Amino acid sequence: MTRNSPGRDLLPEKKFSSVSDQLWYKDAIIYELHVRAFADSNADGIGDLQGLISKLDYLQELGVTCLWLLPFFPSPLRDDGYDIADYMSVNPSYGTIEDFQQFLDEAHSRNMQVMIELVINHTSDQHPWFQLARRSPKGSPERNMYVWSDTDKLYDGVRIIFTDTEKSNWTWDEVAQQYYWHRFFSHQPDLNFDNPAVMEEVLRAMRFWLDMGVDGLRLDAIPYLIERDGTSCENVPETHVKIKAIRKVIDEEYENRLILAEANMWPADVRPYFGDGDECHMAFHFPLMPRIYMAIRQEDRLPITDIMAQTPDIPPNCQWGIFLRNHDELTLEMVTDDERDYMYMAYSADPRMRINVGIRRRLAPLVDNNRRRIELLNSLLFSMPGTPIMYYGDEIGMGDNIYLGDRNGVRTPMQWNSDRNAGFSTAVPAKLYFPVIMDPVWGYQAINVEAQQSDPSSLLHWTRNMIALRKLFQVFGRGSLEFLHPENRKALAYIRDYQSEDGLHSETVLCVANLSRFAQPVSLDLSKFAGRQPVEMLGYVPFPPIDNTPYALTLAPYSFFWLELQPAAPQAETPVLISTPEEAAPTLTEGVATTASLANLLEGSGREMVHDLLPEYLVQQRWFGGKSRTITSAEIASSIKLDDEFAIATVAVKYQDNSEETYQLPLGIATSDAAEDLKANSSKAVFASLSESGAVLYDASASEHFRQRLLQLFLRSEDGAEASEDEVAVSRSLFFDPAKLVGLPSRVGSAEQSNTSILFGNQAIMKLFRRLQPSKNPDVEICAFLTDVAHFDYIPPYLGEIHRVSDGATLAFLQAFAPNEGDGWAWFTEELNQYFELVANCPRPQSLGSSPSFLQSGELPGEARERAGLSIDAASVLGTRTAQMHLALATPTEDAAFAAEITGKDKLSADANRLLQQTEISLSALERTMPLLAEEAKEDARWLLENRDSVRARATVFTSMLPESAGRRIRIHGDYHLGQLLRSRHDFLIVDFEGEPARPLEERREKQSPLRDVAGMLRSYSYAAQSAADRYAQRRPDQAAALPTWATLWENAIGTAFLQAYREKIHETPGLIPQQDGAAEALLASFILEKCLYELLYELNNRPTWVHIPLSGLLAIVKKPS
Amino acid sequence: MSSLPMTEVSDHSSSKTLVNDNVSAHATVLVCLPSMSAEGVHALAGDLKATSPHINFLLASCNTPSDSIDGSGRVRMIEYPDQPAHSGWILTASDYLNAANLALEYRASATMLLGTEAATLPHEALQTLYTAALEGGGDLILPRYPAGPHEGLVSAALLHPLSRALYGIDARMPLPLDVAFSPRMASRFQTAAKRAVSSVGGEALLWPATEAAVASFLTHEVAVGRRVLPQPAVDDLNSLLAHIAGSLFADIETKAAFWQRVRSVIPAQKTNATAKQTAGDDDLAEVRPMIADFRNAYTNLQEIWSLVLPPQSLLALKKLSLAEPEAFTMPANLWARTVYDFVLAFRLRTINRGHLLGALTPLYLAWVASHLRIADDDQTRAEQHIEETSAAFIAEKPYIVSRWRWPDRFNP
Repeated sequence: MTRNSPGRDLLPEKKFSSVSDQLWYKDAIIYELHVRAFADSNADGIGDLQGLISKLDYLQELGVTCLWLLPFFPSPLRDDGYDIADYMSVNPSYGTIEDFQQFLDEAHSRNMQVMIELVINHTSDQHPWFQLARRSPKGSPERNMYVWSDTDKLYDGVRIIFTDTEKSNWTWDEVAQQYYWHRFFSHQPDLNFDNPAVMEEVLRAMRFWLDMGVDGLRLDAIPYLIERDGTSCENVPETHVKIKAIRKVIDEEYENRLILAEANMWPADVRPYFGDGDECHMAFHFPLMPRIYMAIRQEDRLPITDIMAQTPDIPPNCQWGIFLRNHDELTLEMVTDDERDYMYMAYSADPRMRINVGIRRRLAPLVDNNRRRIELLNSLLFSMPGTPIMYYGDEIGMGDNIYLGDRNGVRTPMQWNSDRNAGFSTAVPAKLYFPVIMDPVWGYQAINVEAQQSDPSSLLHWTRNMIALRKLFQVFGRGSLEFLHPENRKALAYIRDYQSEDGLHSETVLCVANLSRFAQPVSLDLSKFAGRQPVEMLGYVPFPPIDNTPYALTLAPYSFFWLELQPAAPQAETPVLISTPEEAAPTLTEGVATTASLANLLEGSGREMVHDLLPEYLVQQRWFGGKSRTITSAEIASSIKLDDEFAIATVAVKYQDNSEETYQLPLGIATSDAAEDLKANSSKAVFASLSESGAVLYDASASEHFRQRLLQLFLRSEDGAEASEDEVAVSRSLFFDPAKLVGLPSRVGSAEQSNTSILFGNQAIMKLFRRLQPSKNPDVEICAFLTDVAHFDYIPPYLGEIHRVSDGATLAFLQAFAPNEGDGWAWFTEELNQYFELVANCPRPQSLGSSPSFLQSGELPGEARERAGLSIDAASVLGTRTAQMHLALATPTEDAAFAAEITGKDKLSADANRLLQQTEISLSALERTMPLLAEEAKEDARWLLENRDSVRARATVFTSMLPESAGRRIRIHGDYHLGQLLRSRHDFLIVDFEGEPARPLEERREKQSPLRDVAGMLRSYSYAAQSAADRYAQRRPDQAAALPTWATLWENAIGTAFLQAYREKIHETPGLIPQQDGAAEALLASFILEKCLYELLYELNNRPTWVHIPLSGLLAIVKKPS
Repeated sequence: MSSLPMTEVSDHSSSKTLVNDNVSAHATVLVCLPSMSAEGVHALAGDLKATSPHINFLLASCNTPSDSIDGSGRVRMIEYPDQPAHSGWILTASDYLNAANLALEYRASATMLLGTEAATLPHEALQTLYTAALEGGGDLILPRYPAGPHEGLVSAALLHPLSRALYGIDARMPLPLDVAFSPRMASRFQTAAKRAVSSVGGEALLWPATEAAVASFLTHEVAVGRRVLPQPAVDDLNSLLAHIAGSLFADIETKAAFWQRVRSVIPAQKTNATAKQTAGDDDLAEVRPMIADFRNAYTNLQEIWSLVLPPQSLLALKKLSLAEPEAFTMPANLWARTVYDFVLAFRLRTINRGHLLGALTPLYLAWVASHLRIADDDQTRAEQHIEETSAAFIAEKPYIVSRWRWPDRFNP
């Protein structure tokens, strides 16, 4: 009895997992094939399971590890099998259940896993459930297996997916006398997941296949399972309940199985389908694929880096599925309108190549059969994060047949050899399910497996080698991704990095691809890998070691490099250092070991050896700011001994460009278990091993003991007084309460980049400054003033600081820890996302409001109040807080560093000069990079350059202003934007008064007009609005038309609310800003102009696609009458 | 001395084998004797009892009833698993599986698995082995026996240089006759041996040192005294080489992702062993048949070799085939590249694997002929040649890695 017969209710005995690693899918190479198209064993013209079994050796040799079979179930085949008429059987054309079991066992014996389709959104209209449903009474459980309605207006507005064939998502059924719902073809009615019986049947079918040993299930069309009125009927929350239920059954009843979500959406929208690692194990990354094609066509990496920047992190047990082509059209749903037009023009000149919202062509024809392009695209597929999915036939560069209907042109028989029917079948050619491809370029006589197997230079051999190579390195399936940003945008460069969970090995790979048809130079900043040895992975060829200088590579047309960044090669003949493969710390020689002490290492005979090791150590530290420069020397300039165990060293670093910097490096020596613990858990902190003693010299901030030692300095000092401990001194706030800090455990924070943050419980945070500058750090100085003198409540209170006695340089800053809900940028951005969701389908707003100004009362349009009320209220609060901050900074004091000053003529001249200088630098850069800008930006840029004099003329605002009208000058925040705020309990705390770190300390400490901070915040609103609108428009191009106007309305309303509140509060102290609104307005506009010019330069150098944001800001100011 | 990043292979001389009673007190050592006779087991029990008074021994043997054979209870017999038992001159994966199962079942502090003719091991050797496992910090203890210039040549030509170059394991006998190991090594062996037995069958071999290397466990090599080296039952070099080399090549294929990441330092070569310039007929009597076999193969196996070896190697073999016995020397780097190309062909299934390994035999004989001619019955010269061969494998490692990653016989 075959299991195709009615006796199939006897479910197969449950099989154990075919694989031992539960994350096997992360390392997999998936091969997608159609049983019908692969090999025909019985000469009926249709591929079958026995044919597929006969080709398993070929697939094993190719190296793929997982076979994804398209639907092979009984079906009328009106949608290539996705219209299933029986879930627990095999289409007789392909074989029997026994054949499938044999195939499964044979695949497993070759170490290949098998994934099949679980098409649960819909069935064929020929499925017995549907036939029964249409004949059953309305409301009966049988009828309710599907979604029915008396009207076709229910769920009105839900988009139609197959636009070429379907006019509605509802179809009238004469038998049932109701409409039934279908998101795809009208012969594919959607199952009704609100009916529990549907879920039961789905689980039953799923268990049937998993019990046989199937390793993976692809959940087809998963976002459409549930319908809810008033929604898009996509991604509704209840869908996730269903998926979690499916996953729960799998986890409880089976081992090491996989479910893969097909959700053709933006990565951020797909992210929920991973849940917390408790929904789908994998999901396709749809938008990456068209962007890879776009990047190679435009010879520009931006499409790829941009979409990856929009790709959220996923749970550690989850994985993206990436692909170049599949059985469907090259979908263009996830691109903007312009991008879609471009792709159509670039890749489908013949309209027959287009279908639905995509292009129905195979990989090789898409790239004009250019071998180097095919190889380049595959190299990206194999090296980008995710599991690569190959489509059958692409490994030999098969062509397509655009004259076949639907997407069948890419589903033609596999080309095995040059015999009849390409070796696919011995049937008479007319009997084949589709004709084989026969033209002179793509025909099976020219392109087939047998020919390529005998040709060592064939694409098949190349693909096989690449797969084998990828399988040697887990980093490709499991590692992190970091893009590099070389100046040449035709080069795509990224780092993949992986540390195995057991810590036994790590892999770092640099991938560089030339997207251009011509040779390209590229220069990469690899300084953080200084000392490493790149080894070209295909040929195992060592490249020159990396140092702190830019790493230059020359790339042949469409070429790529995979370079493994290995630790420096062992140098057996060099007795001083022995590097080990896992980046272990170097070893100091025996002479030191016998007398290893901090004193010896920092001041005695070990000092020279420490100096030798310093450069390499520094460049590996996250906080080290000189990575892009070449170090000529690094020496211990001085050291402050805290006790026998710890010392704070000052390292003087000299660079090749003759610049110098000083860094703080607390050091300690650890022995025995503590040393082992450091090596295992904080290897970056280990400076060196002390020969064979097992001890290590390390960055003491990794030690709890050291951190407590620092805290003790505060606890022991007197209130408000300086407590000197030889060479370091401690200052404490008047409000410092030692009782709150005693006994608190500490940990090192991870957010800080340039310094090191130490958290003491939830009470305090200590910033250990790494780069030292003489005199007090401005952040410490201002926070101390605001806490102890001005009693300003809207900062995390200052608690104290440690500084060096000799020059006052701040070593550590202790501040109260402020619980918060994230920074201001994240909060406003989230609000903006919700705002755009609300207005996306609305027509343009009736009024855009007016830009924030001291000259207008600025009534806020009702539409803004209605839709962005929360943001407006927050901006109003923030305006008040900003004014309060300035008032606090203007608190009368005898401290010269803070006493407010009147504005002198010289200060206004300096402002004018600074603006003029910024104008020249930024506009020159704009002129130089004009050809690289997007067309829309070019137009604005041209106008701006033509009106350069108008920009320059704005500087006269400063020189023509009477000093007594210009308000007073005070210490200001200096780098004021939304990222410098913490959202806390419906209010804001202001942080980071360090000023722009790139500017010299004396400049940051200068007193300035408070309106500079106001300008900074207004620009930050503009950035938030426009960048959020851009992101939204990319995700929802169909709803993007009115977005710019809604963004402008938001920006105007928020800015106006902020400025109104600010003005109201700041005038409580008359004269701090210009009393005359006209003068205040002129000053503010000039500061905004300066800020825009600064942003323009930044974007031109770093994010050209963002240039339009500062450009629009500039135009708004320059076009405005002075 | 090379830098061996993944494992440490150290010499433990017998003078260091005194047991530290404090450390080993109450330790239980499992001794698995799959092929020892009942008399041998009894004798061994007596020897073990005479060693450290604080160690309990569990003896597992097919040939002795499972009861205590020592009144004090310090040496106990335990039941040996029924099947599959030891079947030949060398330890198989089944032997490892049995030993690992028992070790884990009885929670042995250390395990010794002793092969055929283990009764001839010096008494001190036993103590050396288990002491290294109990106290030396090693997970895997491999013995090193003194060997004459004519002994252990498969190891010297293939197993040792391949293990050292690819895995960084500097052990002279990577396929040991006897072995001792730690509990966690036992756990690793259990998994690996199960896999080997289920996929290959009872004759499957296990490569303990490569298992240890992949797990980042520490391997120690300890010097033990001379023992009788068992001889294979078959007198067919082809079968023997196919069995051992085939198993090692398969292991290399499985562990490619690991060994391609191990980097060793190429040790400086202080001496180059060279053959005596003059040799009489008596000196060459042993090697003449081997050279003749190689020359015959050069004529008959050209077709197969040309599928496996690149032109440069074929040219070098041609020259070698023309060399007179008095000057017959296979260069170490040629041998290393040849072996690497066979490893690669094995992986790529360039030809039937049986035929492939058969085609390696005459090339191996060419190396043996060179070795014997160079050694000239002098152990020091033999060691120098083995070291030179091993160094060539290390130096040529990039050759195998690059060809493995991009198989192409167009170059060199």
